Amino acid sequence: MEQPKRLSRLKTTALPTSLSDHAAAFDRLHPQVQRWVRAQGWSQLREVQTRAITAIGGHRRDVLIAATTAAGKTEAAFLPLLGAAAARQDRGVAILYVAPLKALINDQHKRLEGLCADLEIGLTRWHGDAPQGPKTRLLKSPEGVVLITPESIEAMFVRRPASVEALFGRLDAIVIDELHAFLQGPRGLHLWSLLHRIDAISHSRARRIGLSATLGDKQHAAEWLAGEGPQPEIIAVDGGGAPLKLQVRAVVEPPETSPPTADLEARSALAEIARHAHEILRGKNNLFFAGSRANVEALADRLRTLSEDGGVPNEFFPHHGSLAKELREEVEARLKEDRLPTTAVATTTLELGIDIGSVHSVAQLGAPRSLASLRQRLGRSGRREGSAAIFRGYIREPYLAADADPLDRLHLPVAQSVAALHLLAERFVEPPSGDPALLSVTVHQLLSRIAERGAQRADQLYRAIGRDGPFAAIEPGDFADLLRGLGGGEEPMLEQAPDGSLMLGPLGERLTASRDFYANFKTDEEWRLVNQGRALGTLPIVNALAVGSILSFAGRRWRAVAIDDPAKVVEVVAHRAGRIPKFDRVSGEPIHDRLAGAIRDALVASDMPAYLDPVAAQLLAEGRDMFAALDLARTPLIAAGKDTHLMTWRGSVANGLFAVLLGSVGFECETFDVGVTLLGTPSDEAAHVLGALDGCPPIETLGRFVSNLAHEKYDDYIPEDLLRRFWVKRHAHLETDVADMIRRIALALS
Amino acid sequence: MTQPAQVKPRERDTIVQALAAGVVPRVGLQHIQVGRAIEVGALVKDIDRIADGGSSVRFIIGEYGAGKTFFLSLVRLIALERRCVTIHADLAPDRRIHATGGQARGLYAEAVRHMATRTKADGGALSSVVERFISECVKEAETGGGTVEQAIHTRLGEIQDLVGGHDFAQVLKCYWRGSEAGDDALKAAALRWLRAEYPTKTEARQALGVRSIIDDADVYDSLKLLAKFVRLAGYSGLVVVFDEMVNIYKLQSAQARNQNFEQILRIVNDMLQGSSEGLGFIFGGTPEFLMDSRRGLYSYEALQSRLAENQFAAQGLVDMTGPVIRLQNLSPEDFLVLLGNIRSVFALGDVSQYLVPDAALAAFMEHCNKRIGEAYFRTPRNTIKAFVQFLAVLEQNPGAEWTQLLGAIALEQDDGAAEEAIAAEDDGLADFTL
Repeated sequence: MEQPKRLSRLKTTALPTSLSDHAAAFDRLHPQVQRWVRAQGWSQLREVQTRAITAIGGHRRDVLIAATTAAGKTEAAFLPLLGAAAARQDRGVAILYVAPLKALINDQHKRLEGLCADLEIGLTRWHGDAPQGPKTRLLKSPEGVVLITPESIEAMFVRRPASVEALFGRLDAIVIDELHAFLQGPRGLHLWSLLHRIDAISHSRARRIGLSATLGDKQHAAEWLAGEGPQPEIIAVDGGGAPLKLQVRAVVEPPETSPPTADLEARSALAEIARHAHEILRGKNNLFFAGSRANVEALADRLRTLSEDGGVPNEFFPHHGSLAKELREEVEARLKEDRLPTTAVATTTLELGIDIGSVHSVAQLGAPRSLASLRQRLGRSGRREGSAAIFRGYIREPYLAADADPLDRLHLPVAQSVAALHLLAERFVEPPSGDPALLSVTVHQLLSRIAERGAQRADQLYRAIGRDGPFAAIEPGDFADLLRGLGGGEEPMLEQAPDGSLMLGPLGERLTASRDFYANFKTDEEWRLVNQGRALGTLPIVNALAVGSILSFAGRRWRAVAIDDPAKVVEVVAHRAGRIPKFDRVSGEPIHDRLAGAIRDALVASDMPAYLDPVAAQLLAEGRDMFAALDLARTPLIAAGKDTHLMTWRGSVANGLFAVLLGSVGFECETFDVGVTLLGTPSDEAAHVLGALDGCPPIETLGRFVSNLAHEKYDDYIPEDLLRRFWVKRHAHLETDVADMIRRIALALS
Repeated sequence: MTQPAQVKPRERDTIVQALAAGVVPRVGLQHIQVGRAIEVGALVKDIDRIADGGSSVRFIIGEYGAGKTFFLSLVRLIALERRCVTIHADLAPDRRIHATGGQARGLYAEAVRHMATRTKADGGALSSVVERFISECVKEAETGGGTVEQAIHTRLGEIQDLVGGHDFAQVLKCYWRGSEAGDDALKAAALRWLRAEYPTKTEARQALGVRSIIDDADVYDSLKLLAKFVRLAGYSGLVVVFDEMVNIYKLQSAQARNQNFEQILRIVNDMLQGSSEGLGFIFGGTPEFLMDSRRGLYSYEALQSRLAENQFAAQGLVDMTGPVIRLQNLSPEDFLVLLGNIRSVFALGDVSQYLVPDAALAAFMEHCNKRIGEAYFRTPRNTIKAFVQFLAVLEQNPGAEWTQLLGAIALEQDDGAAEEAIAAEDDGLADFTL
């Protein structure tokens, strides 16, 4: 078995710090902290620590510390802050440390315990599984350092509004660990709002210290961190992180026999992947991301069977949103306890919900789709000093029969893996865009605020929530529509007192009383496909979905005839038969334009990455040959029998919008990762029609066709009109983008 | 009120100042009170019953600005006249009847801080009530022999059998020891304990050697103790006034509301059954606090059946035997009298000093009616405020003509959120309705 190869890394570019800087930084530290540092046996402070000590001791501004894992960021922030906390006179907690995972909090607790004891500063873990005794003591006499999750801050606002101010009203600093995990999505918005609320009850704004892995866009992270405050100082130290080991294995499905033989399943690519993974992952803790729930179940089942057949204890457990919470927590507990080796086989979208710290390696079925999540996943591996972060990609490729679709011959999944790992080396991270979770988080924070402060008028609520930072995108009119939507229905979420103030309605009371209320992210959600009352199965859908959209599922094409967004059900009818591209396309994540472009680049290039196994390398070579044969460098069209593939080399959002546009002018079309398939349209006809397209209609018009608007936890309670309005706002910038795309296609076709 | 009563100048200033600010004056209510004779009569009967060792409970229900607070203040004054002790507090998000996070203790503390007697009508009467009790005991010790502590002990005999009674007696003995030894700190600690201002048992034990404090769970029991105590100190009873009960309606958790209603039910049961001596409760609240079937008192089955109003008492017919009193709106005639009374207060009761003739009163009402319609009868607060300002201008500018001023008077609709200044921002959300 070949060892994973090492990916070449970029050279560090930061200016080295001099010896005298180190000495000066050390001198700045509290004597007790100096003693502790010496006791650790460190020869000298690391660069990131030196610079952080200088910055944190030198001014009162926010500081963003970006460095690789295991570079000593935690100490960089805490050494100077704890020294100041030891000399503090004020009552109340001095330092609030926020981290996305309980497991991480427990690790940091161990790390800081000794130092805090030396300084006689309290150190309290505060999350759902933390011991109760220290929490009670903290409530009685708030002081020292508190390590907490965003969800526990939320719980404190809702359940102990009276204590929040006593606890967090006089903070010196808020340290936010894994800041990169909060820059996008509902959890980030949620934390942003919570920090804003802490500022609002504070005597003076606590300075914020952000800790992050090396970031794509440091400026954006700095702005997020500062919130309403002034620009933070950015301390970025490259290199020094855990080495990265990568491997991508491709497995080709066996040829289909007719009639299908009994052992076909046993010879399938998934079975082959399971055999390899079983051998290689056993004995360690790992995470295996497998895309959809169906994949997770199939893979976990195979791995379990292999354990049983081999007479060894099973170490592989499924983890997805439709499993009972207890089962999921059992898997997490097994991973956290670290007694028995465990591999969680999880859906891609559930990763925020897996509360475990570090694992030995990360595996993934299917090509990476989002660089942000790839980094996030890799960040869970190789956290221990001296260990490498390990990533294993498994790709299934279809067997190419004589009449295979040309799209399959491009071997896009292998090309996508190469493209994604190339972008990883380039440190690309998808830049944040208008956040689809904005309204959902607003609903959540509305409920939370009313629960915290009691009945309030609409204008007070708006001023408290809807005016700052990312929430500024919500206009007063939107806010009023939102409130009206929440105040309607059989079981209203809000109700109004005769004096005009808004209170929790029956639904609002029910939601805020539940334990699920504190978390703002949703578990993975899949759509149910129903054909004439018969459920076909479930799959994640991220592209824009409209009546008439074509979906591939279970080896066939289906046309959506009715869409029930709240229930997440699509009523489909069978689309005309015919061969369809077979590559693995099921996933819950959109791909970015830059990745789509990099896929094209991977097919144009000629170098062969070392991390590809021989099969994958072979397939990439074949895909490149096909790319040249189809002349795709010049033409965007691929003829595929009665259908035509239009290669846009753009990401999911643009393709989804383009498909809605083509649907609105009468085409039947289906999207794939880097393009759109025009069904029943031969390539010459497609060229003719596409050449004659007259720009992009207004986004408002296209928005009317989109039916899957509710994605986030509270979206189901938001009026559809408002969701649509925000969909249009988020996609407005695409209007020129798509028009541009049309122009370029027309140019290529002329 | 054909023959205006004499008004003292100091009273006059207090009244005018308070009315101009839209709040109820602390003194001189009798000079301006009009109408509501039946309601006042019913409450007078209640107070008499309390003074006779009985008990009573009333819910005073009226819209924002309908004069609830005025009415409650008047009732308190009457109670003081009948030699009762009154305590009162407004409910707030951090002050409620049942709680576990110190909010009930907060309500109790606030109420006891406002303890009033006839001689100390402005509140802060706790120490004088305690002093009076102690001096009774001292007298008893002098005449009957024995120590003062023994006298305290015997006097408080019946209290000591009640919940928390032992520590209550203990605290009073501490107060006596403090005053005997000139230990002001000990006296202050005892008063602090009685005001439920000790947050923890440890602190109370260190200061006073008692094992318990008045905490969230003990509020009602402590009020019963207090009622017994004031009678032992020589007063005729204790009247407890809790206003702004709408804050319970506004609690954002069904469980919290129900726990408060449960406590209210306990009080209602005890008071209606007469199982407490010399104790009366008066609750003030808006109609939604009573009537809302999801979050009001009526949402609590047992309270709804006890508080349901007499169905025959409608269309102008009244029944004052039920615990709920709805403050009827002032009639236009009442209003005219009220304006006349205010005019008379301005003139210190001297008819010759009236700032405006009778015609001006009618014209002022006509003006209000035109500007905001009949709503001004329902919520007199703003109308009175405007009238007081109107008179104040006339008084300070002797040359001014009332006929000209009248047109310039601006009236606001009462939105019930008078305490809170609304930052005028044009986001269109200030008057949002669902």
